[in-house]
Amino acid sequence: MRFLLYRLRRSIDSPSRNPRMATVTGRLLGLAFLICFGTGLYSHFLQEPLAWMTFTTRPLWLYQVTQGIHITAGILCFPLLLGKLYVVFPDLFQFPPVRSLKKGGAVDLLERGSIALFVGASLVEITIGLLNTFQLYLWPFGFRQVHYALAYVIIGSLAIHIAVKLPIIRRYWFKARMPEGEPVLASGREDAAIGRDLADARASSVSNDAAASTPAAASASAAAAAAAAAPDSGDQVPQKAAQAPFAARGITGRVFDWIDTTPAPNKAVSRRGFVATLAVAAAALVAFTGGQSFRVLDRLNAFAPRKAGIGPQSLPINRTAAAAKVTETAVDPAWTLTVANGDRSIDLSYADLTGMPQTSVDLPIACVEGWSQMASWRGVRMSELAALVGATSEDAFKATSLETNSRYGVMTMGPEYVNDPLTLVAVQLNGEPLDIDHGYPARMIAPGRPGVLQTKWLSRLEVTS
Amino acid sequence: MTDVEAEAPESVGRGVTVVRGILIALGVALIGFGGYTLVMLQPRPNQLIGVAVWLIGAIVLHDAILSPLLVGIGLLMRRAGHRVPWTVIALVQGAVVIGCLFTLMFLPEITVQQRGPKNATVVPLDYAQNLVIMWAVLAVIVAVGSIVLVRRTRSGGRSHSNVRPPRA
Repeated sequence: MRFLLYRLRRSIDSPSRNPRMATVTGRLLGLAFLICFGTGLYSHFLQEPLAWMTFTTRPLWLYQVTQGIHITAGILCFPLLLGKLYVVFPDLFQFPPVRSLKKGGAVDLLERGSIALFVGASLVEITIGLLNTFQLYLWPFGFRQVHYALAYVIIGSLAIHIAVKLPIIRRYWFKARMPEGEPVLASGREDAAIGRDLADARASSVSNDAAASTPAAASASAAAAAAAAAPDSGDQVPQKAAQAPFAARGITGRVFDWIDTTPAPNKAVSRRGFVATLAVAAAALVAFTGGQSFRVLDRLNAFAPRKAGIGPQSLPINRTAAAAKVTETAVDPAWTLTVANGDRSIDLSYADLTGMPQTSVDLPIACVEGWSQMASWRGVRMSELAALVGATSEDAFKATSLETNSRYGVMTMGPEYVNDPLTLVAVQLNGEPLDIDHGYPARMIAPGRPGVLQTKWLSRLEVTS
Repeated sequence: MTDVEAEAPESVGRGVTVVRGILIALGVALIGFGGYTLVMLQPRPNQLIGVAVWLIGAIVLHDAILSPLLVGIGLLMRRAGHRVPWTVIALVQGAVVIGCLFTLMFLPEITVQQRGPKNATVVPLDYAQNLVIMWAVLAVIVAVGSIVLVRRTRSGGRSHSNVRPPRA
């Protein structure tokens, strides 16, 4: 078994599979994970702030950019994660799977367990994240909750993974420290000994067959050592020599024999090919999907689930009036916007609202799903409505929508947004009255907040105690 | 080899040990908090089982299906190395990997289009057509690139070829 696993590792060996490449792809992936984690937490706490939290409303594009980066970095995790897993794939067949406790088995067990959790959680996290942007829900759990909880699990597993691999990471952080002709399996500890182990495994396998003589084992071990030390050029010959003492026996023997007669790839080309493929894949993904978040890439947008300019009044939407079941209540002529502060309360009709001093602002709609687009809004300043009922600059507001079947039907807005001169109860979008799908008769628009908090179809604004 | 063994995990310096301890403690705490959050937010058994099935499914899908498939394809392509320059093989591999990546990632958008998206501004582009164009462009790049690389090899220029130029 041990021999088989070593042979398997050796066979799927490839020049891209070395500790230096594992370190390089690993730190890129780690960076992408940390960026996703940071921007994700920011988005999470914007939506569910802890009591003491207050947020900045400038720069205006802050959320647009953080969430655009969150989604784009998440998309980049696909090639990075698959590439990283490709690099370390032979480690799957390490033998023994877990070493005995005396020889560092506790670390092994922790490592293998945390890696399984790490890989599983990472794959699930980026997959459900991507499918959520397509609004395709194929699972029996809540997306938001699981995406949030798994983020902690992933960053925790990442910390453990870095701790376990710290000596390898340190050793291969700089290119100069990668020795030429280094054995190429990705797990550094075994690398040094792989040639020797392979020779040992062979020797024991041969002696088990009772056909071994000492010279045969010695030649095997010498040949394996030569294979391990093979420099870049002439990679085919030593490997063949190493296999020579062993006849093809049984199915596995034949399979390995077939693999061994396969030309070994040119190391430099294979390594460069791997890096180039990863780089091109990453660049192409950003170029062809980034347009939903970053307008400069809009013309290249070929695969993103949203496209700037497509939607009512040239602006995409997440939830239609029909989905929110407000198609009748929103166009009711008796509609009023109630503004309340304790016992004080006023009802504003659509005519009252449009009769008040109007302000124009340019603010982006920036969705949690990553797409965003700038738009021109016109309406009444939130701070002026707050003043009508005598609210102070310390007061937070609760905004209630006509929509009743959504967790976003009620939204809370801290004083930093209420007091901001750019926060509007908007009645116009791009020079026209709001489309019903954009929140007619009136909606909230505030700087630096996720689209789900830009409450549409407003019916009530109330000071919260 | 002694240099390697000096840096082996069993005999690391004190600094590394301290950093490791901190990272592991932090990691365990974060995983614990994540697990707690998951159970608090998704307490129903079918939700938790669903998460577990997805986690295990992802590992099985990757380790038992996707990776062996890649290894097999890689081996088959390496066999062509008897006749074709490595640079060409690398080019073909890269193009296939990128094409497959895009197909895997964006095929679900076509599924959503067939099921009917929630509104017309979700998945509004012609993704099927764009995928076909993508594959066509990759094929052209591979074809043109291969011709260039083979010619360069034949003319005996600097290359990493395994194929010897024919004798004059």
